[in-house]
Amino acid sequence: MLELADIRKSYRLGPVEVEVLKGIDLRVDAGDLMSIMGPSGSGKSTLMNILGLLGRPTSGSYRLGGRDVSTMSDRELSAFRNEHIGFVFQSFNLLGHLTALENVALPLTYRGMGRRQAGRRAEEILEKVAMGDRLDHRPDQLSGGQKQRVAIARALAGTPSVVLADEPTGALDSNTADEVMQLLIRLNRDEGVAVVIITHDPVVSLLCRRQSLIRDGMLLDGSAEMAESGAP
Amino acid sequence: MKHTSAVFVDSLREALRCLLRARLRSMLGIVGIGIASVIAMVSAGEIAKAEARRQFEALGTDIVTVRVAGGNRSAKMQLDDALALAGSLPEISAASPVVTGAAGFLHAGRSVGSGSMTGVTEAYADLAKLEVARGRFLSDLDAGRFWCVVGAKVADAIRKAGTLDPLAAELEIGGHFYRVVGVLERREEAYGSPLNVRADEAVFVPVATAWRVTRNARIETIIARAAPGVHHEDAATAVAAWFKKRTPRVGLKAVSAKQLIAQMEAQLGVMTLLLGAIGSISLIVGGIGVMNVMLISVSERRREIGVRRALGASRGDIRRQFLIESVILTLTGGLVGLAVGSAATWGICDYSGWEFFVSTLSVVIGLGVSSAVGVFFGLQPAHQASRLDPIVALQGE
Repeated sequence: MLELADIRKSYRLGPVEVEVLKGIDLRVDAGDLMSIMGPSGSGKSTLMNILGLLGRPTSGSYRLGGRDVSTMSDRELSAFRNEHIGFVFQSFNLLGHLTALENVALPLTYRGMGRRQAGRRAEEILEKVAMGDRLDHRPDQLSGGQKQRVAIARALAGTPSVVLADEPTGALDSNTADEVMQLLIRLNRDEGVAVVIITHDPVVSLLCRRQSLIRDGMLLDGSAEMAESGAP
Repeated sequence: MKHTSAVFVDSLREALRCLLRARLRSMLGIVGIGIASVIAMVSAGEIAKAEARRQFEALGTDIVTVRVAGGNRSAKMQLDDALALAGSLPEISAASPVVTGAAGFLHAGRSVGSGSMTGVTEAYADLAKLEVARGRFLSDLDAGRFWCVVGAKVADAIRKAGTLDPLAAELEIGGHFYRVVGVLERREEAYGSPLNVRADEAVFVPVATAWRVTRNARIETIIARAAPGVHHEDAATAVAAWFKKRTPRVGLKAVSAKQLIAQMEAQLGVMTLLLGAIGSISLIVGGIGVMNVMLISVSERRREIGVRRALGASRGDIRRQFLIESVILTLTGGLVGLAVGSAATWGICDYSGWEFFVSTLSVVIGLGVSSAVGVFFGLQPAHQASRLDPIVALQGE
């Protein structure tokens, strides 16, 4: 469903060229629940941006939903992002002047869905994350955990192929973090959506079925290693 | 298209929310002033034109006005010469000289008007389309008599002064007493009438009387009507030629009503130019202000732009959103301007005695121009917003 092959990304810092990603191979299948762990500066944000179609790799191929995304125009890429990717951010990134319902409906509006229909779909998905009684609340009227629930609902609203969660529990206390993780795990199981969690927290990582490590721009896929070593 | 309209509605709501922010108000004010000037300019022009047309039609298209030049260099127009015009030219069916006499009307020792008495002939009533309410108009047989015909407002003043029936009342003007023989119908005439005399506030006396009792009496105007079938321009030319032959040393100008209206419009042109200048300057200043507000808004909302991009907004969606916002801004300014401008126009009309109306043209121009200002000055901020790298935007505060 999602396949990276030899993805490289380098930045020019003055006269020096810094290679942040040094040939990443990654395959995410429908229904996957995987973590990408790594210290800061390891390139995990860069990888997340490329996965989320927000940035383009310097080289390598990226196939998503059976198509090569490297040649897409901004318009195609935006539509593709809307269709296939759901983002969950560490700092929630809800729009402060919109209600929970409006926030969740937003990706659907960009898809061209009518207001009423988008509202119904948003309500439905907010019920699923147990936020059905907070539809008209604005983000500043919600707690951190509630905000992240709304953000997860927004990521799922457009029935994406994969949810990319960048430190989804980074701004939450451990109890709330646990709740949010359980929610992600449940949605992954019930909705069949692939979830990729980028984190530096081993506890979060361990909750995922598949774990991988990024270090110095290289990805060590735990499951691949386990497969090679013959472990279960 | 569905896509666009959904985003459009979304952007509309966004823009309205932003409008509530206080710092935009000053910018809106400036755009408002600009649009108000444009509105006032366009409507006053439209109204003045309509007014001119109305007066033109009221008097008839066949009126010719002779303006006698003053000053020392040219000789004085004599009453006989002015009176002779009426019967001497086939191009003219009627004519009346207009002699301006002493100012200030007194009745029973009280002022009943501050204008100047006007000496005219019998023909004037028809030339100026005056209707007599009571009594009669002046007759050419009244020549030299101290009789007068008063306008409706003067008649009101006489009644106020204590005389129930203005007819047969006595008026003192410049030390002479005149008996009122007629009261005119109310006219509600505007300033700037081609005849220069507001009938409601006038006192008409026989031209010979005015000529005799007024020191340094001058004929400044002769009103004439072109004969049936004679074009007003031709009549004006013929009148000018006739006077050139009869009184070669008198400087004068014969103009048709149409030419008078053109002159009036030219005078309006100065006002239009002034308002246009104020309008343009404030629109530019307001536009730059709106651009700044939008640029600030773009940089403050980088994160929002990043989030929207992450959710699937294309560059075009972002550009459209900010363009709509800036157009909503200026359009709101435009609506304020429309109200203020219409109020100003009402003021101008009230002062000038014109009939007020909101011209469709001014509304179309006002809203059109304010939208155009919004698009023009919103283009750069919108472009900037759309070119933001979503990754950088998402990190931004």
